Amino acid sequence: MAPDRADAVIVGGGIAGLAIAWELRKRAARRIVVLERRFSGYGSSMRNIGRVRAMQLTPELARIAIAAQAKHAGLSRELGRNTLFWRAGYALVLYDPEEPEMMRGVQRMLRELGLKTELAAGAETVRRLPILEGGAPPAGALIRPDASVHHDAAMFAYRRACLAAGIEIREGVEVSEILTAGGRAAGVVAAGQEISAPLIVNAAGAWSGVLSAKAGVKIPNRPLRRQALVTEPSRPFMRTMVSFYRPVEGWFHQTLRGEVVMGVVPADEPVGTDLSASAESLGRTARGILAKAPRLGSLRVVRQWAGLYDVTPDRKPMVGPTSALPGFVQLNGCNGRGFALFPILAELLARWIDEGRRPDLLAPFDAERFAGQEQASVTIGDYYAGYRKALDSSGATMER
Amino acid sequence: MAERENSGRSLAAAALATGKSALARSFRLHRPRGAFCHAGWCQQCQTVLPDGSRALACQTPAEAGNVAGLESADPLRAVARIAEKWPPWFWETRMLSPEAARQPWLELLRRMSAAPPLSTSTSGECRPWRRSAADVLIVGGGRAGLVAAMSLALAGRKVLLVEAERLGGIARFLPVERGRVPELASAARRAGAQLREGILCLGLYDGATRALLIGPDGPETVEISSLVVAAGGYDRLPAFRGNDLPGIVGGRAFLRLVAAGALPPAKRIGLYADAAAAPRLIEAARAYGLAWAWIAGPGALPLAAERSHPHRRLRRASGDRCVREVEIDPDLRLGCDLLVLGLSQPAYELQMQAGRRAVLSGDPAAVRTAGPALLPLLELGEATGLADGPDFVSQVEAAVQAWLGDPHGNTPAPQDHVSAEKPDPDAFLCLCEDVRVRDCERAIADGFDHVELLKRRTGAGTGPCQGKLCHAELMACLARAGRNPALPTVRPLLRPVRLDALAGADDGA
Ligand SMILES: Cc1cc2nc3c(=O)[nH]c(=O)nc-3n(C[C@H](O)[C@H](O)[C@H](O)COP(=O)(O)OP(=O)(O)OC[C@H]3O[C@@H](n4cnc5c(N)ncnc54)[C@H](O)[C@@H]3O)c2cc1C
Ligand code: FES
Repeated sequence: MAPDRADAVIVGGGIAGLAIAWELRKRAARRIVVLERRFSGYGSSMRNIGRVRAMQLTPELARIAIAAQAKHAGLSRELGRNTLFWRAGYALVLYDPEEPEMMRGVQRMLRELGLKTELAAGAETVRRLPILEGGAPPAGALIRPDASVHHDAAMFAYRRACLAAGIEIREGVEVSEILTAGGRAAGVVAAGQEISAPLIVNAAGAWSGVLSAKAGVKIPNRPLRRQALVTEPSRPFMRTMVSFYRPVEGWFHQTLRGEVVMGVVPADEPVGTDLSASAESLGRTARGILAKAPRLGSLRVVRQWAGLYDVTPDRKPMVGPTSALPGFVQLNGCNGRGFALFPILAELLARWIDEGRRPDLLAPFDAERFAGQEQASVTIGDYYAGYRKALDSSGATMER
Repeated sequence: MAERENSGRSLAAAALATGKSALARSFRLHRPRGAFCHAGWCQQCQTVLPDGSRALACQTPAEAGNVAGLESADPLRAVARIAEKWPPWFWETRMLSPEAARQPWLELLRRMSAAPPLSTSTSGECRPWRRSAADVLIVGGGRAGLVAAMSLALAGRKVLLVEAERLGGIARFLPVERGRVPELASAARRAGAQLREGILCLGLYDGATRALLIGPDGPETVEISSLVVAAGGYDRLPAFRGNDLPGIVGGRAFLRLVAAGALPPAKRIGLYADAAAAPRLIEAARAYGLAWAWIAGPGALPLAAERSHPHRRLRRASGDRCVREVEIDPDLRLGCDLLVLGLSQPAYELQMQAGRRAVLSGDPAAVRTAGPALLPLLELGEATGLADGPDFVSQVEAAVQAWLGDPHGNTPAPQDHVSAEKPDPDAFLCLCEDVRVRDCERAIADGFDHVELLKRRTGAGTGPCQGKLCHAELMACLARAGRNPALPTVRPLLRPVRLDALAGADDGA
């Protein structure tokens, strides 16, 4: 059998893989093959909750997230299919009395980037978010009309656009080997078959560390399980999506279909690719959410599931070529923000690949930034610690 | 006449007795819906009680509700009628831009939902999580479960049997068999088995090494080393046009209703049943002095009476807010105010969670499971898909003995079966999400031909019943299109559970 050839092979059929395939194809006529072990979206891309938040807590992330939200806002038109981009609103609710004051720093930083937020204080928070009535009294909330998309709708829009553009999406095909020749990436072995290509993109999500290792390229990414549950639908009773980080990390919101999705994160989740939901998470989530929003208590839970974050030591994405293996390109490490960020990251990466110059917005996310420290420990538990530290050192330089 | 079942009448049964079968509305298309299962699993009869809380009418005592207040007039129904012509993903090609217009449009779509409002009643109580362990967990306290509990306890196993309702299972509603339940239960207890009523098994966790239970004492996880599924069966709702009309009930639902005296004799009751289910339904009706308007079925029927129509297929049901007439092959029209469907879907979810794969078998096809499981697993009683024989007790005992000898041996491998019958494209495939057969066929043709993609594309299987009503039809639809008839991952929970019931402290032991 003659070896299969492509101009680019994308490993992983999640949002990262489909977005980079689409962006590369948009720029030039190329033969692009996306290889997906199960079905497109099997990974986290069909297990997430589609929040597209611009209001990030560090300037590097806020800059890219603002661009990411703008990209999502125009995505329905770009792909020719509705992704259900909806400005439901977003509130970061605070419970520690010191936090509203600290959030002023974040608010200033965001304002400098052109993003207006509101900081509700004390009792005003509950007036703005009546679903919190009767729960633990909030100290305040940072609020802005951030958006969500429907993850399945966005995935299907990409899938269809890719297929219509002649991109081949092969499902049920696992990449087992990365081939090299003369110190460059030369192709992959997928389901026993060789496909040669000068460009290979690692869009394997939570499995990106494993895939990278196959290419002999070390990256510090680690997979981390995140769980969620969903209730039966109700008539609309809330709009704003809620998140909180202290004393526990958790979130909930009502979807367009009227269901309430929610999750509460354990501080001690071990690293690994376990995709099964746990009984413990049911109890933890019910306790954690009802402590804040007791009125949700009468809703019935219909289903629970688990997905994976692809976590990096600094919680930032990994994007770009690797000097250890030219032709092998990273597009992963998006932690809990990949659905929001990958469309814009893919657009910028495609430009980088074609023009050979790194777009400025990608500088903080350069895949080479951990060179020599790939073993850097990924502190899983405290998402919040990063920004707290940053705020303590005050102002614009955050998370080193 | 046989003695009545005395567990009290439900709000849904009380409504039916007054001739009212529309109790709720479907969320998306605002179609009138009624109780199909009368047993708490089909989720089609959710209503709002006078105190502002939401409840399944079939699980609520008649006194707690208000029959007249059920499913009141729905002004949005007229608007929803337009949407009936569109597939569930109708929004996909609409309102792509500008954003300023899309926002209010989405807001409007959101408000079109016919789902009940968030309950205004206060939260219920929450009990702490507990832990326990058992050698064998038996799910289902019907006759099969009780006999197995006795046999396994006599064999020296630590047996925990959980029953979602009350001991006896479906036999509670069978005029003759119900008499034997107390005797079977006390034999199991004497042998040392622990029997617990009112406890639901919600799913398996941690590689099927633990089961989650919930009951009046709160949630509980049980470490288990083997599992007996004696959870009986669900009523099977096949795809025919008009299959979502109120007034269509399952065969097991009929047994419950007739035993509770909830069926007025004046009602015209039609029976469409397969050869396995027909005898016991006919028997129960006779015992309670009820007459059938007619009896039909896809196979042979036990009774060659005047009004019996064997070897005929149900084509469609029609009526306004309640079934009034059905059409049977080739073009026979029969009137009825209540249509009983005596077709079965054996319990399958726990077997799937234990690692088995799904296959289709029977006609109309039902979901069965096959292949190896993660732990020693035994199916008994109606969960095996077979009707009980007269020497039922010795059959179960023999199955248990064989299993004790070869705990991994019970791995049935029925054949995938695809009926050549094409259902009406207008038939509902998924009632919870208002997905029709034609929507699924269209989605498959559009390339959403992996069951996980098909589920996400159409919403089929994602509603409150979690696929119990529609999984078999979903698989059959894939099979007819020549695709792999798999089931989507069967995720916990097996039944919806209130969030506050799960919020108790974890004993951490
Ligand atoms: C519960 C939860 C909630 C979330 N909420 C949000 C949110 O609100 N907003 C947001 O922006 N993000 C959210 N995320 C994160 C987001 O889902 C992810 O960052 C994003 O989907 C990752 O996309 P991906 O394409 O990189 O990975 P994936 O979608 O996981 O895709 C990777 C694919 O690669 C395939 N693959 C792996 N190895 C191989 C191989 N060797 N060969 C072939 N194929 C392979 C896998 O099968 C998989 O399908 C959430 C995540 C979870 C779990
Ligand atoms: S009928 Fe309930 S999920 Fe399909």
